[in-house]
Amino acid sequence: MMSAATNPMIETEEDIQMIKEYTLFPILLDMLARDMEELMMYKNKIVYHHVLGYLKEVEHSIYPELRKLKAKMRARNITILNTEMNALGIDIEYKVRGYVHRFTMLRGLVKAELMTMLMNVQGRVR
Amino acid sequence: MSTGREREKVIFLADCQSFYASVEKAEHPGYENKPVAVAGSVERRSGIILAACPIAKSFGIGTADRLGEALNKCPELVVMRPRMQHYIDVSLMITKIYEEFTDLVEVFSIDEQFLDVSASLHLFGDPITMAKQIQQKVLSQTGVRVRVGISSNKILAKIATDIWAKKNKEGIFTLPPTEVETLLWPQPVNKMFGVGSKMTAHFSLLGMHTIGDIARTPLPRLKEKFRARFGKQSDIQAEVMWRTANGLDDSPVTPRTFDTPPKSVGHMMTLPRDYIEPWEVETILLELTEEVCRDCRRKGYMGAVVSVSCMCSPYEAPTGFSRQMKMLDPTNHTNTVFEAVKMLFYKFWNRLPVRRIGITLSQLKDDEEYQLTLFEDQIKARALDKATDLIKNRYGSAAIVRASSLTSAGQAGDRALKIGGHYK
Repeated sequence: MMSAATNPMIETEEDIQMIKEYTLFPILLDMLARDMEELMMYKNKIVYHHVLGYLKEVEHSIYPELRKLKAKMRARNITILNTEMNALGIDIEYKVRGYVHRFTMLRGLVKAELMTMLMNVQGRVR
Repeated sequence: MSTGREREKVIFLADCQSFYASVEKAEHPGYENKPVAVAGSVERRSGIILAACPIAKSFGIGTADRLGEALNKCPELVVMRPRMQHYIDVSLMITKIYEEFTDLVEVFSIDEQFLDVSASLHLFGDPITMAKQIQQKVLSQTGVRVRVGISSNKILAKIATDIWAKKNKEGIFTLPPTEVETLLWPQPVNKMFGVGSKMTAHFSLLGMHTIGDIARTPLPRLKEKFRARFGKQSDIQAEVMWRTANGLDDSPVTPRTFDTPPKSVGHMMTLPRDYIEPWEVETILLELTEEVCRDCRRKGYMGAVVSVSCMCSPYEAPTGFSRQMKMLDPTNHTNTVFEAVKMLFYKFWNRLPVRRIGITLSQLKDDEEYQLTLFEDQIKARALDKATDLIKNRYGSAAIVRASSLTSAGQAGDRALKIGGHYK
Protein backbone atom coordinates (compact mmCIF):
# COMPACT_ATOMS: atom_id res chain seq x y z
CA MET A 1 0.00 0.00 0.00
CA MET A 2 1.45 3.37 -1.00
CA SER A 3 1.62 6.23 1.48
CA ALA A 4 0.35 9.74 0.85
CA ALA A 5 3.87 10.88 0.05
CA THR A 6 4.50 8.25 -2.63
CA ASN A 7 1.05 7.74 -4.14
CA PRO A 8 0.77 10.05 -7.17
CA MET A 9 -3.01 9.88 -7.08
CA ILE A 10 -3.20 11.50 -3.68
CA GLU A 11 -3.33 15.28 -3.65
CA THR A 12 -1.36 16.85 -0.83
CA GLU A 13 -2.56 19.82 1.20
CA GLU A 14 -0.05 22.01 -0.69
CA ASP A 15 -1.38 20.80 -4.06
CA ILE A 16 -4.93 21.81 -3.10
CA GLN A 17 -3.73 25.16 -1.74
CA MET A 18 -1.89 25.90 -4.98
CA ILE A 19 -4.96 25.12 -7.08
CA LYS A 20 -7.00 27.38 -4.86
CA GLU A 21 -4.54 30.30 -5.12
CA TYR A 22 -4.10 29.79 -8.84
CA THR A 23 -7.86 30.03 -9.24
CA LEU A 24 -8.28 33.05 -7.02
CA PHE A 25 -5.35 35.24 -8.18
CA PRO A 26 -6.78 35.93 -11.67
CA ILE A 27 -10.18 36.78 -10.17
CA LEU A 28 -8.47 39.17 -7.75
CA LEU A 29 -6.53 40.79 -10.63
CA ASP A 30 -9.77 41.21 -12.60
CA MET A 31 -11.43 42.76 -9.59
CA LEU A 32 -8.57 45.20 -9.07
CA ALA A 33 -8.49 46.11 -12.78
CA ARG A 34 -12.20 46.86 -12.76
CA ASP A 35 -12.02 48.98 -9.62
CA MET A 36 -8.98 50.87 -10.88
CA GLU A 37 -10.74 51.63 -14.14
CA GLU A 38 -13.59 53.11 -12.19
CA LEU A 39 -11.26 55.17 -10.03
CA MET A 40 -9.49 56.51 -13.15
CA MET A 41 -12.52 58.71 -13.69
CA TYR A 42 -11.67 60.56 -10.50
CA LYS A 43 -7.89 60.51 -10.71
CA ASN A 44 -7.68 64.30 -10.51
CA LYS A 45 -8.97 64.13 -6.94
CA ILE A 46 -6.00 63.73 -4.64
CA VAL A 47 -7.49 61.00 -2.40
CA TYR A 48 -8.62 58.85 -5.31
CA HIS A 49 -5.24 59.38 -6.94
CA HIS A 50 -3.54 57.98 -3.82
CA VAL A 51 -5.92 55.02 -3.64
CA LEU A 52 -5.26 54.31 -7.31
CA GLY A 53 -1.53 54.35 -6.73
CA TYR A 54 -1.89 52.00 -3.82
CA LEU A 55 -4.07 49.56 -5.77
CA LYS A 56 -1.50 49.54 -8.59
CA GLU A 57 1.15 48.58 -6.03
CA VAL A 58 -1.07 45.75 -4.83
CA GLU A 59 -1.62 44.62 -8.41
CA HIS A 60 2.10 44.64 -9.18
CA SER A 61 2.88 42.63 -6.07
CA ILE A 62 0.54 39.85 -7.25
CA TYR A 63 2.30 39.14 -10.57
CA PRO A 64 5.54 37.77 -9.09
CA GLU A 65 3.46 35.64 -6.71
CA LEU A 66 1.53 34.24 -9.64
CA ARG A 67 4.75 33.51 -11.55
CA LYS A 68 6.22 31.69 -8.52
CA LEU A 69 3.02 29.71 -8.15
CA LYS A 70 3.05 28.67 -11.83
CA ALA A 71 6.65 27.47 -11.49
CA LYS A 72 5.79 25.45 -8.39
CA MET A 73 2.81 23.89 -10.13
CA ARG A 74 4.98 22.93 -13.11
CA ALA A 75 7.48 21.33 -10.77
CA ARG A 76 4.73 19.29 -9.15
CA ASN A 77 3.20 18.34 -12.50
CA ILE A 78 -0.09 20.16 -11.84
CA THR A 79 -2.05 21.44 -14.86
CA ILE A 80 -5.35 23.29 -15.01
CA LEU A 81 -7.58 21.71 -17.65
CA ASN A 82 -10.73 23.78 -17.46
CA THR A 83 -12.12 26.66 -15.42
CA GLU A 84 -15.81 27.41 -15.48
CA MET A 85 -17.75 30.17 -13.74
CA ASN A 86 -21.43 29.38 -13.21
CA ALA A 87 -24.35 30.68 -11.19
CA LEU A 88 -23.23 28.81 -8.07
CA GLY A 89 -19.53 29.58 -8.19
CA ILE A 90 -16.36 28.35 -9.83
CA ASP A 91 -15.59 24.86 -11.05
CA ILE A 92 -12.03 23.80 -11.94
CA GLU A 93 -10.88 20.61 -13.56
CA TYR A 94 -7.17 19.93 -13.12
CA LYS A 95 -4.56 17.23 -13.33
CA VAL A 96 -2.14 16.33 -10.56
CA ARG A 97 0.66 13.96 -11.59
CA GLY A 98 -1.52 12.52 -14.33
CA TYR A 99 -4.74 12.14 -12.29
CA VAL A 100 -7.75 14.34 -12.98
CA HIS A 101 -9.50 16.03 -10.03
CA ARG A 102 -12.14 18.71 -9.56
CA PHE A 103 -12.29 21.74 -7.33
CA THR A 104 -15.47 23.73 -6.73
CA MET A 105 -16.03 26.87 -4.69
CA LEU A 106 -19.33 28.63 -4.14
CA ARG A 107 -19.50 32.37 -4.79
CA GLY A 108 -19.78 33.34 -1.13
CA LEU A 109 -16.58 31.55 -0.23
CA VAL A 110 -14.75 32.87 -3.32
CA LYS A 111 -15.54 36.40 -2.14
CA ALA A 112 -14.44 35.65 1.43
CA GLU A 113 -11.19 34.04 0.26
CA LEU A 114 -10.49 37.01 -2.02
CA MET A 115 -10.91 39.39 0.90
CA THR A 116 -8.48 37.35 3.00
CA MET A 117 -6.04 37.20 0.11
CA LEU A 118 -6.27 40.96 -0.40
CA MET A 119 -5.58 41.56 3.28
CA ASN A 120 -2.48 39.35 3.07
CA VAL A 121 -1.22 41.13 -0.05
CA GLN A 122 -1.88 44.52 1.58
CA GLY A 123 0.17 43.40 4.57
CA ARG A 124 3.10 42.60 2.29
CA VAL A 125 2.81 45.90 0.37
CA ARG A 126 2.88 47.93 3.59
CA MET B 1 -9.38 -4.28 8.01
CA SER B 2 -9.05 -7.63 6.21
CA THR B 3 -10.07 -10.76 7.97
CA GLY B 4 -9.18 -14.04 6.43
CA ARG B 5 -10.92 -15.01 3.21
CA GLU B 6 -13.58 -12.35 3.05
CA ARG B 7 -12.46 -8.74 3.01
CA GLU B 8 -14.33 -6.69 5.58
CA LYS B 9 -16.08 -3.54 4.44
CA VAL B 10 -14.68 -0.12 5.27
CA ILE B 11 -17.42 2.38 6.00
CA PHE B 12 -16.97 6.07 6.81
CA LEU B 13 -19.49 8.36 8.44
CA ALA B 14 -18.45 11.91 7.60
CA ASP B 15 -20.01 14.61 9.76
CA CYS B 16 -19.67 18.38 9.22
CA GLN B 17 -18.76 20.27 12.39
CA SER B 18 -21.36 22.92 13.36
CA PHE B 19 -22.42 22.87 9.72
CA TYR B 20 -24.51 26.03 9.29
CA ALA B 21 -22.25 28.07 11.59
CA SER B 22 -19.09 26.82 9.82
CA VAL B 23 -20.49 27.82 6.42
CA GLU B 24 -21.28 31.30 7.75
CA LYS B 25 -17.87 31.69 9.43
CA ALA B 26 -16.04 30.64 6.27
CA GLU B 27 -17.91 33.29 4.29
CA HIS B 28 -17.46 36.01 6.92
CA PRO B 29 -13.73 35.92 7.73
CA GLY B 30 -14.18 38.89 10.08
CA TYR B 31 -15.98 36.60 12.55
CA GLU B 32 -13.22 33.97 12.56
CA ASN B 33 -12.41 34.41 16.25
CA LYS B 34 -15.89 35.36 17.43
CA PRO B 35 -18.70 33.20 18.81
CA VAL B 36 -21.17 32.70 15.96
CA ALA B 37 -24.59 31.04 15.96
CA VAL B 38 -27.23 30.58 13.30
CA ALA B 39 -30.74 31.09 14.67
CA GLY B 40 -34.32 31.70 13.58
CA SER B 41 -36.21 34.85 14.48
CA VAL B 42 -37.80 35.39 17.89
CA GLU B 43 -40.65 37.42 16.38
CA ARG B 44 -41.79 34.46 14.32
CA ARG B 45 -41.44 31.99 17.21
CA SER B 46 -38.57 30.16 15.54
CA GLY B 47 -35.93 31.78 17.74
CA ILE B 48 -33.83 28.74 18.53
CA ILE B 49 -30.17 28.04 17.90
CA LEU B 50 -29.83 25.91 14.77
CA ALA B 51 -26.03 25.71 14.94
CA ALA B 52 -23.33 27.18 17.15
CA CYS B 53 -19.62 27.35 16.30
CA PRO B 54 -17.12 25.73 18.69
CA ILE B 55 -16.29 29.14 20.28
CA ALA B 56 -20.00 29.71 20.99
CA LYS B 57 -20.28 26.17 22.34
CA SER B 58 -17.46 26.91 24.79
CA PHE B 59 -19.86 29.43 26.40
CA GLY B 60 -22.33 26.59 26.97
CA ILE B 61 -24.52 27.39 23.96
CA GLY B 62 -26.02 24.31 22.35
CA THR B 63 -28.26 23.44 19.41
CA ALA B 64 -31.98 24.04 20.15
CA ASP B 65 -31.24 26.56 22.94
CA ARG B 66 -33.62 29.49 22.89
CA LEU B 67 -32.01 32.58 21.42
CA GLY B 68 -32.62 34.64 24.56
CA GLU B 69 -30.95 31.99 26.73
CA ALA B 70 -27.98 31.85 24.35
CA LEU B 71 -27.54 35.63 24.47
CA ASN B 72 -27.64 35.51 28.28
CA LYS B 73 -24.84 32.94 28.25
CA CYS B 74 -22.77 34.93 25.75
CA PRO B 75 -23.85 38.56 25.15
CA GLU B 76 -21.23 39.06 22.41
CA LEU B 77 -22.67 36.17 20.38
CA VAL B 78 -22.89 36.99 16.65
CA VAL B 79 -26.33 35.75 15.54
CA MET B 80 -26.82 35.09 11.85
CA ARG B 81 -30.02 34.40 9.96
CA PRO B 82 -30.18 30.96 8.33
CA ARG B 83 -29.80 30.57 4.55
CA MET B 84 -31.22 27.11 4.06
CA GLN B 85 -30.91 26.96 0.26
CA HIS B 86 -27.25 27.89 0.56
CA TYR B 87 -26.61 25.16 3.14
CA ILE B 88 -28.29 22.66 0.82
CA ASP B 89 -25.99 23.82 -2.02
CA VAL B 90 -22.90 23.41 0.19
CA SER B 91 -24.11 20.00 1.37
CA LEU B 92 -24.58 18.84 -2.24
CA MET B 93 -21.11 20.12 -3.05
CA ILE B 94 -19.63 18.15 -0.15
CA THR B 95 -21.44 15.01 -1.35
CA LYS B 96 -19.84 15.57 -4.78
CA ILE B 97 -16.41 15.78 -3.15
CA TYR B 98 -17.05 12.44 -1.43
CA GLU B 99 -18.09 10.97 -4.78
CA GLU B 100 -14.54 11.60 -6.01
CA PHE B 101 -13.43 9.01 -3.45
CA THR B 102 -16.18 6.42 -3.94
CA ASP B 103 -19.42 6.13 -5.89
CA LEU B 104 -21.14 4.63 -2.83
CA VAL B 105 -22.18 7.76 -0.92
CA GLU B 106 -25.42 7.81 1.06
CA VAL B 107 -26.82 11.10 2.29
CA PHE B 108 -27.86 10.57 5.90
CA SER B 109 -28.75 14.19 6.71
CA ILE B 110 -27.79 17.67 5.50
CA ASP B 111 -24.45 17.40 7.32
CA GLU B 112 -23.78 13.65 7.47
CA GLN B 113 -22.97 11.14 4.74
CA PHE B 114 -22.01 7.47 4.75
CA LEU B 115 -19.24 6.36 2.39
CA ASP B 116 -18.48 2.76 1.50
CA VAL B 117 -14.81 2.99 0.50
CA SER B 118 -14.08 -0.76 0.50
CA ALA B 119 -13.55 -0.93 -3.25
CA SER B 120 -11.61 2.31 -3.74
CA LEU B 121 -9.48 2.23 -0.61
CA HIS B 122 -6.49 0.62 -2.36
CA LEU B 123 -6.25 3.67 -4.63
CA PHE B 124 -5.83 6.08 -1.75
CA GLY B 125 -3.79 4.08 0.76
CA ASP B 126 -5.16 3.31 4.19
CA PRO B 127 -8.45 4.52 5.75
CA ILE B 128 -6.79 7.21 7.87
CA THR B 129 -4.91 8.69 4.89
CA MET B 130 -8.12 8.68 2.87
CA ALA B 131 -10.10 10.32 5.69
CA LYS B 132 -7.43 13.02 6.05
CA GLN B 133 -7.58 13.70 2.33
CA ILE B 134 -11.35 14.03 2.49
CA GLN B 135 -11.00 16.46 5.42
CA GLN B 136 -8.45 18.58 3.51
CA LYS B 137 -10.48 18.72 0.35
CA VAL B 138 -13.74 19.66 2.06
CA LEU B 139 -12.04 22.25 4.26
CA SER B 140 -10.30 23.96 1.35
CA GLN B 141 -13.41 24.08 -0.83
CA THR B 142 -16.04 24.95 1.75
CA GLY B 143 -14.31 26.05 4.95
CA VAL B 144 -16.13 23.26 6.82
CA ARG B 145 -14.28 20.82 9.08
CA VAL B 146 -15.34 17.21 8.66
CA ARG B 147 -15.07 14.49 11.32
CA VAL B 148 -14.82 10.89 10.13
CA GLY B 149 -15.78 7.73 12.01
CA ILE B 150 -14.40 4.56 10.44
CA SER B 151 -15.60 0.99 10.92
CA SER B 152 -16.95 -2.07 9.14
CA ASN B 153 -20.63 -1.09 9.07
CA LYS B 154 -22.85 1.99 9.19
CA ILE B 155 -23.90 1.88 12.83
CA LEU B 156 -20.34 1.44 14.11
CA ALA B 157 -19.09 4.22 11.83
CA LYS B 158 -21.83 6.49 13.20
CA ILE B 159 -20.95 5.55 16.79
CA ALA B 160 -17.23 6.08 16.07
CA THR B 161 -18.03 9.62 14.90
CA ASP B 162 -20.45 10.56 17.67
CA ILE B 163 -18.49 9.25 20.63
CA TRP B 164 -14.87 9.71 19.55
CA ALA B 165 -14.18 11.49 16.24
CA LYS B 166 -16.23 14.53 17.30
CA LYS B 167 -14.21 14.80 20.50
CA ASN B 168 -10.61 14.20 19.43
CA LYS B 169 -8.22 16.69 17.85
CA GLU B 170 -7.79 14.89 14.52
CA GLY B 171 -11.51 14.43 13.97
CA ILE B 172 -10.89 10.83 12.86
CA PHE B 173 -11.53 7.64 14.80
CA THR B 174 -11.44 3.96 13.86
CA LEU B 175 -13.67 1.55 15.75
CA PRO B 176 -12.88 -2.00 14.64
CA PRO B 177 -15.65 -4.53 15.35
CA THR B 178 -13.14 -6.51 17.40
CA GLU B 179 -12.92 -3.63 19.88
CA VAL B 180 -16.62 -3.07 20.40
CA GLU B 181 -16.47 -4.91 23.71
CA THR B 182 -13.50 -2.99 25.09
CA LEU B 183 -14.30 0.48 23.71
CA LEU B 184 -18.06 0.71 23.24
CA TRP B 185 -19.52 -1.45 25.97
CA PRO B 186 -18.13 0.52 28.95
CA GLN B 187 -19.81 3.72 27.61
CA PRO B 188 -22.96 4.98 29.39
CA VAL B 189 -26.29 4.15 27.75
CA ASN B 190 -27.05 7.77 26.82
CA LYS B 191 -24.09 7.80 24.42
CA MET B 192 -25.65 5.10 22.26
CA PHE B 193 -27.16 6.16 18.92
CA GLY B 194 -30.95 6.28 19.18
CA VAL B 195 -31.05 6.72 22.95
CA GLY B 196 -32.32 10.04 24.26
CA SER B 197 -33.07 11.24 27.76
CA LYS B 198 -36.39 9.36 28.06
CA MET B 199 -34.92 6.07 26.83
CA THR B 200 -31.95 6.50 29.20
CA ALA B 201 -34.41 6.76 32.08
CA HIS B 202 -36.20 3.60 30.89
CA PHE B 203 -32.92 1.69 30.66
CA SER B 204 -31.96 2.94 34.10
CA LEU B 205 -35.21 1.53 35.51
CA LEU B 206 -34.43 -1.75 33.76
CA GLY B 207 -31.06 -1.77 35.55
CA MET B 208 -29.05 -1.08 32.40
CA HIS B 209 -26.52 1.70 32.73
CA THR B 210 -23.85 0.92 30.15
CA ILE B 211 -24.08 -0.05 26.49
CA GLY B 212 -22.53 -3.37 27.49
CA ASP B 213 -25.47 -4.02 29.84
CA ILE B 214 -27.78 -3.95 26.81
CA ALA B 215 -25.42 -5.90 24.56
CA ARG B 216 -24.87 -8.70 27.08
CA THR B 217 -28.58 -9.21 27.74
CA PRO B 218 -29.81 -12.11 25.57
CA LEU B 219 -32.20 -10.74 22.93
CA PRO B 220 -35.25 -12.80 24.04
CA ARG B 221 -34.72 -11.54 27.61
CA LEU B 222 -34.42 -7.92 26.42
CA LYS B 223 -37.62 -8.32 24.39
CA GLU B 224 -39.40 -9.59 27.50
CA LYS B 225 -38.19 -6.61 29.51
CA PHE B 226 -39.29 -4.19 26.77
CA ARG B 227 -42.70 -5.88 26.51
CA ALA B 228 -43.19 -5.49 30.24
CA ARG B 229 -42.31 -1.81 30.02
CA PHE B 230 -43.60 -0.63 26.61
CA GLY B 231 -46.22 -3.23 25.68
CA LYS B 232 -46.47 -5.99 23.10
CA GLN B 233 -45.42 -3.88 20.11
CA SER B 234 -41.89 -3.25 21.38
CA ASP B 235 -40.04 -6.30 19.99
CA ILE B 236 -38.61 -4.39 17.04
CA GLN B 237 -37.43 -1.56 19.25
CA ALA B 238 -35.72 -4.05 21.57
CA GLU B 239 -33.99 -5.70 18.64
CA VAL B 240 -32.82 -2.36 17.21
CA MET B 241 -31.33 -1.40 20.60
CA TRP B 242 -29.68 -4.81 21.04
CA ARG B 243 -28.18 -4.79 17.55
CA THR B 244 -26.92 -1.21 18.00
CA ALA B 245 -25.28 -2.10 21.32
CA ASN B 246 -23.60 -5.09 19.68
CA GLY B 247 -22.55 -3.04 16.65
CA LEU B 248 -24.52 -5.22 14.24
CA ASP B 249 -25.78 -3.63 11.02
CA ASP B 250 -26.24 -5.38 7.67
CA SER B 251 -27.69 -2.41 5.80
CA PRO B 252 -25.61 -1.39 2.79
CA VAL B 253 -24.53 2.15 1.95
CA THR B 254 -27.23 3.08 -0.54
CA PRO B 255 -26.77 6.05 -2.86
CA ARG B 256 -29.92 7.88 -3.92
CA THR B 257 -31.77 6.98 -0.69
CA PHE B 258 -34.02 9.97 -1.21
CA ASP B 259 -35.07 8.81 -4.66
CA THR B 260 -37.31 6.12 -3.17
CA PRO B 261 -41.06 6.84 -3.34
CA PRO B 262 -42.40 8.61 -0.23
CA LYS B 263 -44.98 6.98 2.05
CA SER B 264 -46.62 10.29 2.80
CA VAL B 265 -46.41 13.96 1.87
CA GLY B 266 -46.95 16.51 4.60
CA HIS B 267 -46.36 20.10 5.70
CA MET B 268 -46.44 21.61 9.16
CA MET B 269 -46.22 25.17 10.40
CA THR B 270 -45.69 26.93 13.72
CA LEU B 271 -47.80 30.08 13.56
CA PRO B 272 -46.22 33.46 14.27
CA ARG B 273 -48.96 34.10 16.87
CA ASP B 274 -51.83 32.11 18.32
CA TYR B 275 -54.76 31.89 15.92
CA ILE B 276 -58.17 32.04 17.59
CA GLU B 277 -60.73 32.82 14.90
CA PRO B 278 -61.90 29.95 12.66
CA TRP B 279 -61.35 32.02 9.48
CA GLU B 280 -57.72 32.59 10.50
CA VAL B 281 -57.10 28.88 11.03
CA GLU B 282 -58.91 28.03 7.80
CA THR B 283 -56.57 30.36 5.90
CA ILE B 284 -53.57 28.35 7.12
CA LEU B 285 -55.32 25.03 6.53
CA LEU B 286 -55.94 26.03 2.93
CA GLU B 287 -52.35 27.21 2.43
CA LEU B 288 -50.95 23.97 3.85
CA THR B 289 -53.41 21.88 1.80
CA GLU B 290 -52.31 23.75 -1.31
CA GLU B 291 -48.63 23.02 -0.54
CA VAL B 292 -49.23 19.34 0.21
CA CYS B 293 -51.36 18.82 -2.91
CA ARG B 294 -48.88 20.71 -5.08
CA ASP B 295 -46.05 18.48 -3.78
CA CYS B 296 -48.16 15.41 -4.57
CA ARG B 297 -48.94 16.65 -8.06
CA ARG B 298 -45.26 17.41 -8.71
CA LYS B 299 -44.29 13.90 -7.58
CA GLY B 300 -47.19 12.27 -9.42
CA TYR B 301 -49.16 10.93 -6.44
CA MET B 302 -52.66 11.07 -5.03
CA GLY B 303 -53.41 10.43 -1.36
CA ALA B 304 -56.28 8.33 0.01
CA VAL B 305 -55.86 9.30 3.67
CA VAL B 306 -55.65 12.84 5.01
CA SER B 307 -54.26 13.65 8.48
CA VAL B 308 -54.57 16.87 10.43
CA SER B 309 -52.41 17.58 13.46
CA CYS B 310 -52.92 20.58 15.68
CA MET B 311 -51.10 21.85 18.76
CA CYS B 312 -52.80 24.47 20.90
CA SER B 313 -51.25 26.97 23.33
CA PRO B 314 -49.87 27.37 25.92
CA TYR B 315 -46.38 26.18 24.94
CA GLU B 316 -45.63 24.82 28.43
CA ALA B 317 -48.75 22.64 28.63
CA PRO B 318 -49.87 22.13 25.07
CA THR B 319 -53.04 20.37 24.07
CA GLY B 320 -54.09 19.27 20.63
CA PHE B 321 -54.86 16.33 18.40
CA SER B 322 -53.64 14.34 15.45
CA ARG B 323 -56.40 12.58 13.49
CA GLN B 324 -56.81 11.04 10.10
CA MET B 325 -59.62 10.00 7.78
CA LYS B 326 -59.96 8.12 4.54
CA MET B 327 -61.37 10.14 1.66
CA LEU B 328 -63.90 8.80 -0.84
CA ASP B 329 -61.27 8.46 -3.56
CA PRO B 330 -57.53 9.13 -3.67
CA THR B 331 -56.93 12.71 -4.81
CA ASN B 332 -54.42 15.54 -5.03
CA HIS B 333 -56.99 18.19 -5.86
CA THR B 334 -56.59 21.07 -3.40
CA ASN B 335 -60.27 21.94 -2.94
CA THR B 336 -61.34 18.32 -2.41
CA VAL B 337 -58.62 17.70 0.18
CA PHE B 338 -59.41 21.04 1.85
CA GLU B 339 -63.04 20.01 2.39
CA ALA B 340 -61.87 16.81 4.12
CA VAL B 341 -59.31 18.76 6.16
CA LYS B 342 -61.95 21.21 7.39
CA MET B 343 -64.32 18.39 8.32
CA LEU B 344 -61.61 16.64 10.31
CA PHE B 345 -60.36 19.83 11.97
CA TYR B 346 -63.72 21.07 13.20
CA LYS B 347 -64.61 17.62 14.50
CA PHE B 348 -61.72 17.64 16.97
CA TRP B 349 -60.81 21.32 17.55
CA ASN B 350 -61.82 22.46 21.04
CA ARG B 351 -61.52 26.18 20.17
CA LEU B 352 -58.28 26.66 22.09
CA PRO B 353 -55.77 29.06 20.46
CA VAL B 354 -53.87 27.24 17.71
CA ARG B 355 -50.07 27.35 17.82
CA ARG B 356 -48.95 24.73 15.30
CA ILE B 357 -50.78 22.93 12.55
CA GLY B 358 -49.92 20.24 10.01
CA ILE B 359 -51.50 18.35 7.12
CA THR B 360 -50.39 15.05 5.58
CA LEU B 361 -51.59 12.90 2.69
CA SER B 362 -50.77 9.19 2.91
CA GLN B 363 -51.63 5.87 1.23
CA LEU B 364 -50.27 7.36 -1.95
CA LYS B 365 -50.94 5.97 -5.40
CA ASP B 366 -50.05 6.95 -8.95
CA ASP B 367 -52.06 9.98 -10.09
CA GLU B 368 -52.52 8.68 -13.62
CA GLU B 369 -55.32 6.35 -12.53
CA TYR B 370 -58.02 8.50 -11.00
CA GLN B 371 -61.63 7.55 -10.31
CA LEU B 372 -64.17 9.15 -12.63
CA THR B 373 -67.25 10.72 -11.06
CA LEU B 374 -70.41 12.24 -12.49
CA PHE B 375 -70.74 14.92 -9.88
CA GLU B 376 -67.72 17.13 -10.47
CA ASP B 377 -65.73 18.34 -13.41
CA GLN B 378 -62.42 16.67 -12.65
CA ILE B 379 -60.81 17.63 -15.95
CA LYS B 380 -61.48 21.31 -15.29
CA ALA B 381 -60.28 21.05 -11.66
CA ARG B 382 -57.08 19.24 -12.67
CA ALA B 383 -56.43 21.83 -15.41
CA LEU B 384 -56.83 24.65 -12.87
CA ASP B 385 -54.39 23.02 -10.43
CA LYS B 386 -51.96 22.42 -13.29
CA ALA B 387 -52.13 26.05 -14.41
CA THR B 388 -51.49 27.44 -10.90
CA ASP B 389 -48.63 24.95 -10.42
CA LEU B 390 -47.01 26.11 -13.65
CA ILE B 391 -47.22 29.75 -12.55
CA LYS B 392 -45.75 28.92 -9.14
CA ASN B 393 -42.97 26.80 -10.62
CA ARG B 394 -41.97 29.59 -12.95
CA TYR B 395 -42.40 32.69 -10.78
CA GLY B 396 -42.21 31.34 -7.23
CA SER B 397 -44.71 29.96 -4.70
CA ALA B 398 -46.10 33.37 -3.82
CA ALA B 399 -46.75 34.39 -7.45
CA ILE B 400 -50.35 33.21 -7.28
CA VAL B 401 -52.14 32.65 -3.96
CA ARG B 402 -55.71 32.31 -2.70
CA ALA B 403 -57.36 35.62 -1.79
CA SER B 404 -57.51 34.54 1.87
CA SER B 405 -53.70 34.46 1.93
CA LEU B 406 -53.70 38.22 1.45
CA THR B 407 -55.51 38.74 4.77
CA SER B 408 -53.69 39.33 8.06
CA ALA B 409 -53.82 35.58 8.77
CA GLY B 410 -52.09 34.56 5.54
CA GLN B 411 -48.57 33.18 5.68
CA ALA B 412 -48.08 32.05 2.08
CA GLY B 413 -45.85 35.00 1.19
CA ASP B 414 -43.55 34.41 4.15
CA ARG B 415 -43.47 30.64 3.67
CA ALA B 416 -42.38 31.11 0.05
CA LEU B 417 -39.15 32.61 1.43
CA LYS B 418 -38.43 29.59 3.62
CA ILE B 419 -37.29 25.99 3.53
CA GLY B 420 -38.20 23.77 6.48
CA GLY B 421 -39.47 26.77 8.43
CA HIS B 422 -36.21 28.73 8.08
CA TYR B 423 -35.26 31.39 5.57
CA LYS B 424 -33.78 30.14 2.27
